[in-house]
Amino acid sequence: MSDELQLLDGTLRAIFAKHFDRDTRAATGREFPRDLWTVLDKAGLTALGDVESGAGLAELVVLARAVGRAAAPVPLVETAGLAAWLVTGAGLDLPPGITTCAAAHPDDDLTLARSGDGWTATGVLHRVPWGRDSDQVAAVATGEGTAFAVVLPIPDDVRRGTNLGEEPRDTVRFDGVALAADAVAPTTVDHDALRERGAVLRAASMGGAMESALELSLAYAGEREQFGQPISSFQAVQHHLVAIAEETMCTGMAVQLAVSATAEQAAFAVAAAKNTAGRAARIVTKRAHQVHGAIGVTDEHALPWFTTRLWAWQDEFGTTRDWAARLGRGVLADGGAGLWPRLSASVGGGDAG
Amino acid sequence: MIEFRPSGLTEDEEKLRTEVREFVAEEFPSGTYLPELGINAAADPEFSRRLAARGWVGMVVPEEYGGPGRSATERFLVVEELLAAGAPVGAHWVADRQTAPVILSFGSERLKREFLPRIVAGDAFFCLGMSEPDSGSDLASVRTRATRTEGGWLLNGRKVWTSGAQYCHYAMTLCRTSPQEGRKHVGLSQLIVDLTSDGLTVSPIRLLNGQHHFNEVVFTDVFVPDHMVLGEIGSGWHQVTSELAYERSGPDRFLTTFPVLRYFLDFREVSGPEAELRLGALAARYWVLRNMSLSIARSLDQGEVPAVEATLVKDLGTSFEHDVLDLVRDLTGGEQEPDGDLFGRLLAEATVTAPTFTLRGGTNEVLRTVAAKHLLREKRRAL
Repeated sequence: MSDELQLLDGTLRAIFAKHFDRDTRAATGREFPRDLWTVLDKAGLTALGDVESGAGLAELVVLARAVGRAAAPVPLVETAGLAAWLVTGAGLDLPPGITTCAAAHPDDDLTLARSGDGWTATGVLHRVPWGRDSDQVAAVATGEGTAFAVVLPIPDDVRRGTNLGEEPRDTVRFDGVALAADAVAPTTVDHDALRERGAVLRAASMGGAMESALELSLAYAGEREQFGQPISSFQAVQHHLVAIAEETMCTGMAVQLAVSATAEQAAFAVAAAKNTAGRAARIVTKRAHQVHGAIGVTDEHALPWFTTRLWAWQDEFGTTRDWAARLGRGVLADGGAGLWPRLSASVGGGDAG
Repeated sequence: MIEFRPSGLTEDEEKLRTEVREFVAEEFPSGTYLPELGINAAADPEFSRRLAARGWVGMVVPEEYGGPGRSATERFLVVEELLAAGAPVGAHWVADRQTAPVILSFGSERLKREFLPRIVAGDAFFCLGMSEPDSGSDLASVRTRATRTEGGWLLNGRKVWTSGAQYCHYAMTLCRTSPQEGRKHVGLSQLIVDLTSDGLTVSPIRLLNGQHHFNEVVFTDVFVPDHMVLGEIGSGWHQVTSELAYERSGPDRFLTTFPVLRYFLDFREVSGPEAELRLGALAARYWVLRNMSLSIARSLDQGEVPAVEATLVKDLGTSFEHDVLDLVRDLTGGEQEPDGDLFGRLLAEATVTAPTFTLRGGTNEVLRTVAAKHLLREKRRAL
């Protein structure tokens, strides 16, 4: 990591450690941690993806990874990584308050119709992260055959849902919501592009959650004694630890490759990142729980903060299987002669190392 | 936390790769030959010398010792093209991968001048005298011993699984030079043994399919002159373990079965949802493993010794080589035909030699134990 990225990582780590420690998490329960959000907002982190700020995918991957590592129950990835990028990229301003982002759900359908000088928006967005806690949602809508970036106020009557990690995933309906002309702008980001970016950022968060699961597993295996010795002295347990470390590293590498990919490689690298993270998540969750024994499946322990998110996130922004199929279609299209050049293609960055 | 950094290629590196790719395409057009499987590859000294003539053997040897002074990364780029095509790299393999770097690191000036130019020319082939009948994963327990004699050492003992001893010129031999008292890692040394020496016999240990790859090498009062000692007497363990960073991390640890996949795609009808799903996941894994392995080569160039990273990549990569075969078998369907077409023959050979992938260079189980101890130590240090 460059010095700048390390600084960003350090800032995020410090904020989560100080403003969302174990006691705060317990006291907050299932409420939205508004104080934490205020700190993140004041630090400018909620708008990090603003295209004017110069922060690119590399910065947002650091941010997403930190969110995963802390299992922070806030829509920081959605706001900073997706909404800010989508909205400012289309030349709109990011409004004050919490702006979550549509999750590029396959059933999402949002259309715009002209109405006087402005537009009206109609349709439904599924499983919007923290819909109930947000003021607005950024989304891609279709109007007159073109993709537009829009920011829509969230109505009061969202249909509440959650993911396996108990993060809000709410369904939001819009029925002819009037939008001023300056709340809508054409965008080059279509549904697929939003999904790809979301997939990389989720994979990054998954990598962060795996790092924490690994740290917890190493610590627990080192201190828990059975048969008169730490369980880390048993080879069967050691092999679990190594498998967790390996898959965590694979995920980190796959995400970094998506960041470094050339434009031509991007679709492949993104699919590989989310597929890798999804497959790794299965191995890491299974083995981390096996290392922890029964204490790991109680709400007294921190491990479930990470494993429940890993179970949830592997399906978001395209399932592990969706991305495998997409990769596979590419492999078959390339054929035998094309496979090796594809796999060995150099990522960007010269010998940046 | 261990972290791998992705690494792009410089223009010069891209240019080198294009040259190698063209060379390989000319030497090995798909469908005209039976590809070799990674480091089980047959020896073809003529091929090794053609490669050497291009400057692609002993690439890391600096100019003063007759080499091109290329980086570990450049070697990586050459080697991965050869392995992906299933080239017969057997003859020069060990000399190129690890003998040249260890002679550079530990060898005397005389050894450097004597051996490095010959390795670079494809004229000196090495094998590894490490395992013994009672010393496999527990390498430090070797019992082959060298005792002092005038002007050198007298070597007695027995090495097994010595790949390529039937055609190599020298064996880099790990042996005990002082009696074991207490710690077994102390008192080990590495000797370069001329395989034509008096008192030395090489006999085949045939693979389960009858192939001659492994050997037993027996030493009976074999004289090894003093100047053929690599590095310091007694430093064998340190030298051997640093050598393993080269041995464990390269493209040979995930590409062994790539030619099978290549021929499968070239010579069988492949389509449908199952093929898409499974090939997709496979491609993602290749992509990640290759870039991890490349990033280790970059670290070696920066003077780091990424031993644990190499260990983890070897565990992941060699296990994955098996997964590739499972997938190809599932998608091929039907019975295997070892006497069928080129693809059938290749798949059959890969299937029966697959167990070697996760054994050689240290079994994966031992590697995981080594890696776990490192991870736990780092964790304790951080607490």
